[in-house]
Amino acid sequence: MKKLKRHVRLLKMFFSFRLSNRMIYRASFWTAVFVDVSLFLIQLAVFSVLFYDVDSINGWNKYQMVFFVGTFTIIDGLDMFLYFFGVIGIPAKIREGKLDIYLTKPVNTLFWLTFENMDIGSLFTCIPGIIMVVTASVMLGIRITLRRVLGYILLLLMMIALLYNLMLIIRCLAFFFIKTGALDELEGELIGFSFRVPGIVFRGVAKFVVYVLLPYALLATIPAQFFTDSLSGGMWLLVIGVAAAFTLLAQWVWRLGLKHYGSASS
Amino acid sequence: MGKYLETGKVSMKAQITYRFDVGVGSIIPFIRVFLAYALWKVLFAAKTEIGGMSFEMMMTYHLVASFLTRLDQSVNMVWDMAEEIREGRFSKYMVRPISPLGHFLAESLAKTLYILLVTLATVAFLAVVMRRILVPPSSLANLAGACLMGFMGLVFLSLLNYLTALLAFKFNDITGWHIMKNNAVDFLAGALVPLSLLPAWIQDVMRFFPFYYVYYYPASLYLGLKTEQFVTGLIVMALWIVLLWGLSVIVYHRFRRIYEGVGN
Repeated sequence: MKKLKRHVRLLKMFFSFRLSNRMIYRASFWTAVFVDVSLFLIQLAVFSVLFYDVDSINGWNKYQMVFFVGTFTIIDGLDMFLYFFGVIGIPAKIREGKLDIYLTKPVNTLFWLTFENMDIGSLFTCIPGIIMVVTASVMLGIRITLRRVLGYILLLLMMIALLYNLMLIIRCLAFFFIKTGALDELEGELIGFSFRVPGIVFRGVAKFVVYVLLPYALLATIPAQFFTDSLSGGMWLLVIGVAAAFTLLAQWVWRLGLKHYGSASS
Repeated sequence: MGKYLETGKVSMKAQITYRFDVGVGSIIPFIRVFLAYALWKVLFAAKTEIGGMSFEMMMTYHLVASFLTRLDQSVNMVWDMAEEIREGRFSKYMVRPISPLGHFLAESLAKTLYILLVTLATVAFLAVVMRRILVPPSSLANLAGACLMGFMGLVFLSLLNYLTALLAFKFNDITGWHIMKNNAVDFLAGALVPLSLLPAWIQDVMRFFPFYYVYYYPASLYLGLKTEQFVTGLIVMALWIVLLWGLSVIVYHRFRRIYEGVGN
């Protein structure tokens, strides 16, 4: 409990430090907002073009699609706010030996690296996401119940954690290889695609790949599927299993990487 | 010319050092085509043609477009150059008897050449595996035209990325600009979806801008579509390349005056 309180206190400190830092460089603060909004608009444009004259995809109608895009926008906003900029900075710190200073501090290294670069501006991205989710719910005539809302929030949190673990695993490869830029590109492809296309389009081997091995297709599909349709017990088990497996894998890769870390010579 | 060739050679050698990165990069076309297949298979379930293309043409389009996207290596060089400017390490280019623009282009094209060799193998493999759902080039002349347009597109993107990196002289952090520009280019150049899916009047406007000819047009030409636009395309691209070249020279000479060379 004491440990948890300490970490919450640290989180508050990171947040206030970043907030004051971002407010000094106001241009950067608003640039982040513009970047997020531009990304959202482009994804929306692609989505509109793709589904311009298609009424439904594998049983999902237009408003379920809108709900799906809204959900992804919320996940994207929250991950950029919480850990995105912290995690993407890890490879450079490994390469340049800057990890030393983090390792010598009496704070969990990964916790510090993850949350030190919270981006407050990214929270604004969640606003269009929430608007889309609410609008789609109204248009679909969904009966809002406490169970549905709590289940959606729980799945959203699980997917944010899953995305974190996927990002971390890729960044930890910098412990073993000098340059990992192509992996970032690969990840960008998968995330970009899972933003545009719901996981329900996949079947057979393809579904196994994007639901289990590279579970990017779960990210927005599962919360949207739960809220607008239904999620079977089997799917709940799959999602929990995949999220747990990737948490363990990320922790293992991180520890293995730390053992391999040789300071500036990495 | 010799010094730029030397720059290119050094850049290629450096690429060989990063074998893991290059190896991972070479599987990106696999991922793109796999994802495109899953998506278009569903969208084509109830249709035989979308945006003037059959399913086979759509898959071929994505393979060609993803190959061309992979060839642009200047996009990643922006980060390095911006960091060098920010940290005061760019001074070395100012004292060397070599133009920074020439250095950037030589490095970018050498990296592209190396990636071309590696990625060509991946694409050839994909073409064999997926031969039933891919279409061959419509004619040798169209293939040559597509290659020429693709090359001009790469030169244009290199110049655009050089200009973006130059912004680091003026603005401390160009991350946001660069990401926004990349997102816009991916969409406008047809890397995400073929531009033929857009309304006709938008396509007509886009024909006067260079992005239309970067990925979308070479892929269309390969498929034997829009061949009548080839000459216009060449002229438009040549004009934009000259314009961006001139702009790069002017911007560099203007911005180098405000460079302090001490870093931050």
